[in-house]
Amino acid sequence: MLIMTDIVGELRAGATITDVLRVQQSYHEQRRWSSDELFDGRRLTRPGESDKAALWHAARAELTTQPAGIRLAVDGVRLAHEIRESNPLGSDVLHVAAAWSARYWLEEEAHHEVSFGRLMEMAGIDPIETEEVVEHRGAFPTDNYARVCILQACVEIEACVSYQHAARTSGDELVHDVFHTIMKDEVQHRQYFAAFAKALVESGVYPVKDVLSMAYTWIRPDGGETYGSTREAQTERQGFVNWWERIRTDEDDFALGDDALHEGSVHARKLSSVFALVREVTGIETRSYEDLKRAYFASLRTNDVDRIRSAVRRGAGAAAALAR
Amino acid sequence: MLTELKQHVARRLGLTPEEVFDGRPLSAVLVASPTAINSIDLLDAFAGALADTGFDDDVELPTMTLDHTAEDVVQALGRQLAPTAS
Ligand SMILES: [Fe+2]
Ligand SMILES: [Fe+2]
Repeated sequence: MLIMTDIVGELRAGATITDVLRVQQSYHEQRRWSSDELFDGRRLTRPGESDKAALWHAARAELTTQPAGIRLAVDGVRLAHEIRESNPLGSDVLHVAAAWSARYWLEEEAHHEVSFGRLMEMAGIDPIETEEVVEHRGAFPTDNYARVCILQACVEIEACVSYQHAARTSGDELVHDVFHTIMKDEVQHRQYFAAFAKALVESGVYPVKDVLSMAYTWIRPDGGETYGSTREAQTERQGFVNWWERIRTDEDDFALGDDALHEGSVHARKLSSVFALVREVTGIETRSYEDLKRAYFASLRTNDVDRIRSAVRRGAGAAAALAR
Repeated sequence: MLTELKQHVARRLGLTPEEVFDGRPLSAVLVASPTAINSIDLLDAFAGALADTGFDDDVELPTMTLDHTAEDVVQALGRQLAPTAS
């Protein structure tokens, strides 16, 4: 069984909202795991400093999925009602995305929050104080729904890559198993958000530019979101937490090393995963930041995917000619 | 050339150039704009204006926070364009 990646195709072929939700439910049931069973009778044997740093961050990051999920559920249904008459297909897509966020995403993220929190405390790190928990529940701001789907897909990519790194580098079996189990969920979440964004573009609710602007904003070398807390300029957030802006580095307690953030294979995997996301959602092939930038700029002039593709090819060709 | 750029930025934000470039921070531009919600809409406006004027191959958008002014951003773009614009 797989995630339904062509939602618009299925809806056009006669599937109803209910049909799509039944597929989501089955997939969810099939993939469920129990945190109690995962931890049952097990203890940490060799938690290292980098394990502790990863747990400190993951336990906090997972807290912020709840406000994001509530936002997607509420705004999705509201927008679905607004466009019910003008764009029934897009409205169906929004119902499907809102239901998934409210039901399955939040339920799965609850497993992550609880598991990382438990493991962090088992590793001897102080529990997250109530005030900090409450702060991480701050309301997620309303935005263009396609952009939020791409933002969340990028956040899931960050989680996938970091958790995979944590699982791979840990010398402790329980730390490995928890990070690895959760990483596999994050891969699925990324896929769902990609499918929703693609369906929103295909059903004409949003133009391609909204996908490209968010991906560009995520990876741009100068100030991109993936550089989080190491960026020179930070925007003051009011009432909510973007966990990637709070990442501890350098001399802080529980700081993450560069190898776990923006260096080498970890960073390369994040970037290539964002390019793959762009291709899955828009059909536009980009292989570098420069390609993505060209695609984004072209999408501000046209919503035609073929024309955006040729702008990317033309730009890459001109750059290659210059380099010769 | 920067005048033209400013006109496109303002048009894309649904405002007049005077409203966008009167020295108020970008946070206040967002409040005034009937369409823009957040910094990505500002990015769309500046990037779109570069695309409109045909300069998008030559420049990188400067990092901006909501405390910057629109003039700051245009000046930073102007500095990048200066060596090539003749
Ligand atoms: Fe998670
Ligand atoms: Fe997730």
